[in-house]
Amino acid sequence: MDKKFLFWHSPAEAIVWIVLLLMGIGAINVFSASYVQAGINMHNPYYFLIRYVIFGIVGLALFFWIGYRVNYKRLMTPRALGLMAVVGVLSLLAVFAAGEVVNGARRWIRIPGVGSFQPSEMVKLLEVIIGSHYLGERMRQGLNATFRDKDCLILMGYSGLLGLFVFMQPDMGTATIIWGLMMGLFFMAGLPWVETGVVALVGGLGLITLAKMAPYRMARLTQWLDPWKDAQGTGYQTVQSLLAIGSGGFSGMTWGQGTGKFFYLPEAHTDFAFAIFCQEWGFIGVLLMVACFFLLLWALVLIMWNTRNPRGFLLVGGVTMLVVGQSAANMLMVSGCAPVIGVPLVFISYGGTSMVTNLVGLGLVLSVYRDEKRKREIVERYNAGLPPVEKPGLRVVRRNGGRRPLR
Amino acid sequence: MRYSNDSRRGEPSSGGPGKMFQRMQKNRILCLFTLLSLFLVIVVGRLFWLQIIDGERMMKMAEGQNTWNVSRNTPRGKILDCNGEELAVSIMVKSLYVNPDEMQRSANPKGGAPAVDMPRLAAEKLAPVLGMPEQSLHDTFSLKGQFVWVKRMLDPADYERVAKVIKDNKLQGLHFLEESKRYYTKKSMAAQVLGFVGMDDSGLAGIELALDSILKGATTYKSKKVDAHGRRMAEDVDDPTPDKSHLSTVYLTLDSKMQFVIEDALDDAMKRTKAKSAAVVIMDPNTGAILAMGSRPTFDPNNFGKYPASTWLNRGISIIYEPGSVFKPIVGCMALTENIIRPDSPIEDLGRVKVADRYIRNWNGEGHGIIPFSDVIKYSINTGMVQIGLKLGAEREIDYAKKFGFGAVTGVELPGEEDGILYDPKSMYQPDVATMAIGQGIAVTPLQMLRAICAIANGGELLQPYIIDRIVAPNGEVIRQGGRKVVRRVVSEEVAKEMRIMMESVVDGGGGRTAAIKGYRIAGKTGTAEKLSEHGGYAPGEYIASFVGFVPADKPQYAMLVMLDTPQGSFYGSQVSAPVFRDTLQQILVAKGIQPSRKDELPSFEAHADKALSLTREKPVLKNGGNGMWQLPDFSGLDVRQAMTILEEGGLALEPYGSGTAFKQDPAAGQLVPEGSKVEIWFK
Repeated sequence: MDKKFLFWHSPAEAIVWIVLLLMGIGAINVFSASYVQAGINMHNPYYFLIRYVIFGIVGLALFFWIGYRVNYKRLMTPRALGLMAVVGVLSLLAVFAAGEVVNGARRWIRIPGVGSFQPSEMVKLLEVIIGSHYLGERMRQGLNATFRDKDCLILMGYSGLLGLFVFMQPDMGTATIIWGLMMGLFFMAGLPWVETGVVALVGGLGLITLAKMAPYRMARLTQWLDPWKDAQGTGYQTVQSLLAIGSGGFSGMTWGQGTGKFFYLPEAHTDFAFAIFCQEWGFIGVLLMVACFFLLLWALVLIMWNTRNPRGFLLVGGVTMLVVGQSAANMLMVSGCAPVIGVPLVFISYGGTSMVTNLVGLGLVLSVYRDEKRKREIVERYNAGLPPVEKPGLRVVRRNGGRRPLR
Repeated sequence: MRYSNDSRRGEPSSGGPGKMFQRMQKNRILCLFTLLSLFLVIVVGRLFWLQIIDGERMMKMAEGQNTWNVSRNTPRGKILDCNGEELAVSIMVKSLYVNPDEMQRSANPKGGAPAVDMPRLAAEKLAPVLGMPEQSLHDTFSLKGQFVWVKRMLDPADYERVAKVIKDNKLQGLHFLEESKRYYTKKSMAAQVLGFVGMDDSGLAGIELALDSILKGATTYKSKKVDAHGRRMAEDVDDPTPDKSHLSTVYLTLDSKMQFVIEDALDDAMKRTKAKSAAVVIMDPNTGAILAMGSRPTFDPNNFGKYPASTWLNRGISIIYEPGSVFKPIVGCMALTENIIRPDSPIEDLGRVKVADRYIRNWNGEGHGIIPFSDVIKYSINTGMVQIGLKLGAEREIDYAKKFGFGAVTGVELPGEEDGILYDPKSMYQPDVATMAIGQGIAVTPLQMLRAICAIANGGELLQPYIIDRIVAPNGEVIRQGGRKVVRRVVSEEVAKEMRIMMESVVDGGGGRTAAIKGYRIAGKTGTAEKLSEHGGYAPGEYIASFVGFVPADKPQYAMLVMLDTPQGSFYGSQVSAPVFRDTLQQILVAKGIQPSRKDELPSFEAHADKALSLTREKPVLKNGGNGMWQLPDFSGLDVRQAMTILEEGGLALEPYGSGTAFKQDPAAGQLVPEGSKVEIWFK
């Protein structure tokens, strides 16, 4: 497992560096995309950059702490899981109670002095952790995920409930992602192909039905097919995004010289930050960024491939979907290949909750990797007739804080 | 890198199903990897399409939406008369426009509910200063968009007030643009010649239209990068004030003094005769320069929109009519050139002549018996002209008419010129040939007619009429110089001279006596023609009375045509048009200092008047009353010329009535009058 990954020592190291690189690009791009708006609306062009950096530091601290100091299995005790399940539901309920209404949707809770907190972003990770535990536990028992099982249905129902709360904010895009993530976990946990097909069909029809319930959602879906038809109305955002991307050309405009952020492109520094990036860095920049995400995907897949613990395996799979899957969806949306659903481009779109959540998720991946590596070492030492660890007892006890040993 | 199967002992969870599970897991990993990789590949492919293949187009569209072309006009070039007097000038004035998006946003910069209803506030404050209804302003301000004119071409005083209101109330989104506004300093004078300018500095009629490309203020387009709300993306340096000196100045051949006289005469004639319309053209017969050109009804080009479009018509070039007897000298020239007749050839006038199945009569039906040809012109005898016309025949009549410039535009630099109508000689019947000799069955413009007469006046050369004296570039270079241009010789010097003598006799005792000015040799010809109906044929009871002539008859300096359309009451050219000719030229001759050629005919007092006056009283002079006011002396006993000389000192205009010595004046002696005003003096 120590095999080199390109020019890095291991996939884990690759993840660390790629994350740092993406965050660097993200900080630069968030500043460029937001300084106009921030300067006029907040009277401080650095408003979003400063926040990005603060959340980045908090997130990275968690990332490294979890990645190098925390054993992910500790989050998978019944107590921790129960707490997470309750926190997920309560935080979403809190949005209804105390959420801030922006653009007609209630998505954020304003925490004085800190900023806005978006529970729906956090819920994505909570659900991945909870799902990984239950489905992983089944896998350990030699059972795959199936809808013929009561526990699986309960899990699915929980995810459905979270998604429903988000859907009622209303935020159908994020709700879809919450449902989709759980479906992805089921898939990774061996959902039979027939059931996968049925779920995809039912889910697709369900989404169309939900979309039809509100005319604006339907308009969003139909505009995606031909945004130019109503370039000043429903298709405005997509058209502006395409204009920004296209005007970047091969090598892009100089950094900071892009025009899309001058109030032409709504959400220029959040959901549509990628368009600004494309405009200022051109196709070259796009290749670089897509390469970053591809390497990230590759590294995650490698770790997944070598993870024997089913819970760890599902956790890495979930985080892969969370990080790379969302990013790919965002790029497809921004480039007009998918309808506009509010999914962020990880590390590039401004969003504190999303960034911290994703960093925590990736930290868990590192934790999984570390755990697998340790286990492999134990096996190797065992085969070589050595004691499992160099200093038996001491490290294990200290690491577990005196609690009962973990499996 | 993967665990070997026998090292699985450390994994209690793996067993029989574990192996199967691993295969399943790896399948699923590959599925996930493939799907996400596919997404990324699609993204790259899509972006390749957007940025490389379609990039150019997208870039243009993006540029299109964030580039604003702001046009800046420099003032339009001046139009001056031949003496450099300003006829049309431009100044830069401010126009107010609104950026509604910016205004509406200014009320709530951070989003959320607007704190103030900005459009309402702005409308409330601006309605009184702009003099516009508050509701319509509010509607304008509430539009969606980034550029809507509010009020264009504000007076400088209004601009100050509006700017102050905007500043005091901190109104956002209201901006000014400089635009060029045209002022016609002499109001309606020569309105049809000058034309007028529309909103965007584009000439719409007259010289303004003809020379639009030369006069038009340079429009400099400055592209400005703006954000989605129309605000500037970056503070760009304001470009220096546009160079105002790069505009050419147009000098017309018009003489505003003469123009003033004919405008006045036209007003007077319109009042007196109640004609429907009228045209007067004065031309220099030696060069073809148009010295004055007036048309009625008229309009004020400063406010052309308030007048019906029919008033914009320059009737000197844009209407056609049957010239009638005025055409007789032209036919006479044809016959003289073709040696069909000599001035003294005898012609029998029986009062009427039968052509084919119809009779053509003299105006009063009386016959003169056997008379020389010169008397045919002098007394405008139709029967005589008909005989000559029949001798000429259709071919030669039309051929000469074409040589005289009829049936084709004269090519003067004014837009909207008519070309007139000529018969095709092959389809002319005898009566057509006969009536053409008396100026019927041919349609001409006043300018064509005058030009043809000028050819007689200047010794037989048809000239190209022109109205642009010169165009001077800002560096003093003359870009274009108008001048005498001979189109062709139409008759010999001899023939022209013979005709001049005959035309002089018209005024000297013939049908045009009413045009006579004492002391001057004047040649002319009256004409009264039935008016062509717009629906074809003749309009019953409607006549066009015209007079054309030149002075002095032996060495012509000025040629003039007066055309009155449908005068009420008397309608003969000699009764209504000739007096206009006389009164106008009298003033012009005096003003221009053309010496009378027959001093012996002048009342003898002129020679003695000075002496007599100096004996009885001091020579009357204008006294400067201060503030540009002049105290009038008593003019009684003075003749037109003396009165004119005195008045000219104070820049006063003389309106003479009658001829001889002054006996009455208005305002009275001792009155103070402002500079430039009109003094009426009656002579007997």
